[in-house]
Amino acid sequence: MSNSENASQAEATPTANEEALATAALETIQDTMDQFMATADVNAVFGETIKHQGNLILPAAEVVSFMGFGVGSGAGGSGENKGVGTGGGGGGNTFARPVAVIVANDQGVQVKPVVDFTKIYLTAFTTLAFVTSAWLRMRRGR
Amino acid sequence: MTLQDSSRAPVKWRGYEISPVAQAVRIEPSPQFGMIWNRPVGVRIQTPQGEKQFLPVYDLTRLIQIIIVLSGLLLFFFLKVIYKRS
Repeated sequence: MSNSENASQAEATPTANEEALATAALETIQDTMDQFMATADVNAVFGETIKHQGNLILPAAEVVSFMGFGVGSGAGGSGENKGVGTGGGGGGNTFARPVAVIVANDQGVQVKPVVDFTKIYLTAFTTLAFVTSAWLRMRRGR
Repeated sequence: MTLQDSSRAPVKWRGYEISPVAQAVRIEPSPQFGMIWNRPVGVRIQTPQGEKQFLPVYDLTRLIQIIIVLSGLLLFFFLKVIYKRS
């Protein structure tokens, strides 16, 4: 490796300050991630109990959460055009869907399922469309 | 991937003790990405007579969806077999 290549590489290396910033950002996000992963809790699934007309109602839902992030740093150029930068980003979402309702009354405790007919109709139509198109394609190929 | 069962302190109602049980599936393929799937498993019940029961919670919507998709696939393979034979 020539001297000029060594010099340009040294100039393109991020400073210690930049690296420390990137490390601190990474640690902060990692802490957030750890806190997020610790949220797996029964209270996320079962809601508060509701007392209504002599019934005790306990709603139950399925909760799916996901989160991701990324951090990066880099440097480039040489001389006056030298530049160093760090950046990062992240995102996440949570979906909840009612699954059942637990009802306690004079007759005892019952689990009443919650059926989402829209989802069922969509699944049925999609499946039907898939089977029909596959069948038509088979017939055309004859 | 890890599985974790958790239950809440029992709710007392007219002599019944109802304790909900949930399960969490954690998927953490890398330190930068994580997913948690919390789902209800059932409820533990203690009747006023002291009898202990467990009532499972089924996700009926998902069960019906799986049955529909499997039936569709079965029908597709059935049609394929009929087509090949003819």
